[in-house]
Amino acid sequence: MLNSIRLNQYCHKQCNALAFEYATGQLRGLKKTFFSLLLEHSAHAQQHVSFWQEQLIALNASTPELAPQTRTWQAIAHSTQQARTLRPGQVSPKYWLAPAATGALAASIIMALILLPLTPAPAPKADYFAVLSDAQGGALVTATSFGESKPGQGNHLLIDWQTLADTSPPQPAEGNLQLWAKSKRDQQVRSIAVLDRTQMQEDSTLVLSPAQWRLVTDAHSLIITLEEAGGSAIGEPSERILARGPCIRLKEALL
Amino acid sequence: MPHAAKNTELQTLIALTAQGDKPAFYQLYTACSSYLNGVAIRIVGTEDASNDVLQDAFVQIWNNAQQYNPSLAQPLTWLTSIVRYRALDRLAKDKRRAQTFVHAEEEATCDNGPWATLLKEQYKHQLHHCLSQLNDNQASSVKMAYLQGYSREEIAEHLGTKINTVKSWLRRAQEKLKQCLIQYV
Amino acid sequence: MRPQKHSAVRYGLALMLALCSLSSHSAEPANAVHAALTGIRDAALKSCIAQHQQKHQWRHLAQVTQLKCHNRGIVSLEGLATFSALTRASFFNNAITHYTPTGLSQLKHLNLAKNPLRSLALTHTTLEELYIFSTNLQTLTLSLPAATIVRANNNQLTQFTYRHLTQLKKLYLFDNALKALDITRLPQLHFMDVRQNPMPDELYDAMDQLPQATVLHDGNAEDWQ
Repeated sequence: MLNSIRLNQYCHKQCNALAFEYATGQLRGLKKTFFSLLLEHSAHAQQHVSFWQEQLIALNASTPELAPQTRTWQAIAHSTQQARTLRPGQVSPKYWLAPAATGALAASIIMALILLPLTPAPAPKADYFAVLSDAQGGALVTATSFGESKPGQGNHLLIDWQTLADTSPPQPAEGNLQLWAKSKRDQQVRSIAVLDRTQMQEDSTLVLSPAQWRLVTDAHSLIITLEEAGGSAIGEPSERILARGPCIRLKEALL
Repeated sequence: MPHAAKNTELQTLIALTAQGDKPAFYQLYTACSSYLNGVAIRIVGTEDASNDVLQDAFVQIWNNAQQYNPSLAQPLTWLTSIVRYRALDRLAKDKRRAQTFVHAEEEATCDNGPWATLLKEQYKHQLHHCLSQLNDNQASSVKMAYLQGYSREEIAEHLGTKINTVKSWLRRAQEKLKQCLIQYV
Repeated sequence: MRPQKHSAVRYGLALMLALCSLSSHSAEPANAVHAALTGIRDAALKSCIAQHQQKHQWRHLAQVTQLKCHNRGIVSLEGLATFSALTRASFFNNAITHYTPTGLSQLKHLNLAKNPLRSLALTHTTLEELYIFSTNLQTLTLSLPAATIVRANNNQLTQFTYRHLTQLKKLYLFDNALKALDITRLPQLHFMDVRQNPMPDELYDAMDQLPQATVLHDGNAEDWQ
């Protein structure tokens, strides 16, 4: 429950901007996959996306029409030849055709329905998620891990710097930022990676080794510190903590 | 036909489609496919690709029509969203853009059939009013992103600026638009 | 009278000690550190020590007790043994491929982490802390009777042998390639992390029997989910 609350808190702060980026097609790659996952479970996120979709569609008033090719309908007709049956969880249209029955639908189901047009093409599922905040409590970084989507391609950790409009992620004049995992098992802090300059850009993706992935899966929280060049010399984080936040296993958070 | 009647017509067609009514599905296709194909080609750039997108989208519409809820989205928004996200997926899959850049403003005067008219009636006034409060770069960035599926990198390239600047424009545009549009909701 | 005699003896001894001390320093060149630097072949190491010398105004080798040369591109530590008073030596994130200095008889802390070492055999009677994580180490042989912590995680160790690790309290071997490990001669061990090593279940069972030691291994890891 706590984790779900954290997701909603995150959404409250970030969803409008992300929804706009989603509706305008700005969200790409793993970040889009993450937001799609959030959409499946967050009514707030769904409402924000619906708002932008309804508003921005007016831009298409200037879109020239173009008659489709003949083969298109033939292909559609061929693909839809098989009779369709209702899947579990799907709602018959008679419910929303009958106003009285519409009210009987649970709110959670209703919110799920609007998402279907938003569902992206198959993509790797997010596994772990962390919002790292600075000392003032402002969200600075989100880190989202993705399990191995295709054999051999490895796991990924998407690092998204939640910067203000006109600022860039912190770029230490000397040294590096280092990402740490605090173990939920023994409370020790271990290094996941030393972030190089390119990984301090707006969005960056770390390809995780099995060992790094393990640290993420065992993480109670993630921490980013400022370290000397090359990272911490003793394998422990410095006291210059830039951001920290709890690491949430989405499978559990979204139950 | 007033836009309320058009919406009702679309809702009915989607409802019948959800019940497996193929003639209604074909009628829905006939009514919207040219408009939706126009939406798709602005993003994917070629007719072959837009027709592929249209095909995928209508198969999805057929399969998911039962899940459309008119209290949560206008029917045309629902249909358009399906097409746009499929087109963006196609763009991501191809990892390249076939079309040459056309500035969104250059087509603003086109009159393009019943759905465009509906969109104008339904929303254009409020969106037009709110877009007019943005500066040119902010407004252009929004249009390029939404209508043509341009990434920040592509917008930056076309407007001759940095990616971070485009990011700022879009962020400010989002904030201003939200502030303005919310009064109409 | 006896007290006076004793007093005179004490004075004489003190004088002799002072003279000895003086002669010991006077055996060094006018600036012994400067002279020792000539024995350093690696330009990056020499530059680092020279900077420290300037900063701390070192003149005698006995003053050189701590050395920190990180991110310098140092390839060789040849000549370092001259600085025999070193108690802490840290060479994190360099390009050192071999470590062979002998004579650092007072060394307590050694950091060779993030260096492209492939093999390391280390014998130090005074060394208490050894940091050798994130190298390319494949074989490690230690005889460190005073060592309390060894951080050798994130390497490619296939072989780790030791003679004396009798004071070792913490051993970090996470993410290596060890199939075997002698855990029978670590009487002070409190914590060991050997996860991400291809060890057999029998070894995990034996680890679980270690008294007063917390051992993280793949047999009891709860993070494989």
